[in-house]
Amino acid sequence: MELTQVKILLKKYYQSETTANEEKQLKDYFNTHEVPDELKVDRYLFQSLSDFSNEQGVSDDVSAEIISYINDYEQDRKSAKLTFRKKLTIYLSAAASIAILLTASLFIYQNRQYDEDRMGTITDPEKAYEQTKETLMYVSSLMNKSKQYLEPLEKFSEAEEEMKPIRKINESMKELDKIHKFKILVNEI
Amino acid sequence: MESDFKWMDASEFKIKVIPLNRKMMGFATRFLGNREDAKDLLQEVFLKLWKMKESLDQYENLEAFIIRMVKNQCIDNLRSRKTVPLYEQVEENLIDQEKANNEKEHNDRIERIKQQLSLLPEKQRLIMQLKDIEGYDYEEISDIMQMNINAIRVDLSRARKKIRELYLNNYGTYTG
Repeated sequence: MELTQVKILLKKYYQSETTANEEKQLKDYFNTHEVPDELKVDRYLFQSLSDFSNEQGVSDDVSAEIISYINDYEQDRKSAKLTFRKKLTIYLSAAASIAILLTASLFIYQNRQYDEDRMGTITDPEKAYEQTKETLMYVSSLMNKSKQYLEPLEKFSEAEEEMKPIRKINESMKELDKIHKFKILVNEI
Repeated sequence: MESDFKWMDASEFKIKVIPLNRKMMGFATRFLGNREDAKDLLQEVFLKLWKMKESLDQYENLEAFIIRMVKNQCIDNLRSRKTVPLYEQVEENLIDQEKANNEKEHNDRIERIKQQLSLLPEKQRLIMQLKDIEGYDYEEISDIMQMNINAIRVDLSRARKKIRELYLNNYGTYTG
């Protein structure tokens, strides 16, 4: 490559207009040629860039470190999951035990109270009778109260009353049926 | 009916995604200037990718998508560091230069380009690194940076000119 050509390419290089191929030509040229003083700085720049990009021990393969780092993460995640599951099991068991205990104690307590309040306290038959009567009256009052909600149903009965004339039509139809039978008889004769 | 959409499983992840770590490691180490930070950062990014592996197949250019994540994480990382005032950094670098004078030319060049790149505005630095060091093309850089190609060319041109100028100013005597 002629020196003038090198200078043209260099100008393009500093304008960022060189192609990859042209940049390679420049690099090769500077690696193999002595250059005039004015281009020494450019040669130094090209050589420096090339040295820096080929520096030893920089582009090390660190895949082993990366893989072990990822494995550690996965391991931590799994054990965290496991501890979470273990904790959950413990909490759930505890909650279930408490629930069973509470239900059982409530049941026992209520039973005992019922026995004491209702059954064991009234000994006098007169009083028992009064108590029963009172209770039945209460139930009866409740039933009366409910009855009022059934009142609208009476309207059905009223409607049925209105339908009675239709029955009369039915009866007339039966009378007509006799005429029909008579007609059949005539035909047979 | 068979859907075009494919779910990426663990073995596919190991085949398609994990091997990209080397390129990402190169980019992150060069950008952060520190291998340990780059490795920690990549572990986080790849774990994120692992968690979203079911949806990775929807990305046409997976590598560009991943390097975009790495780039964003790198920027966050740099910003969350305790800010080292630029002049301090430069001063430190100048001391480093003195040491480097006695080392091989190769190492000198690497140190110097690192220093010059670190002086560029973040966007220009990223674009120049992606283009001239990592070797991505304009399309890919457009995807990574979420910028249009013309804007990328403008920033790249500025970055290249600036680096050349810095070389001339700082290392005029070493460029022979």
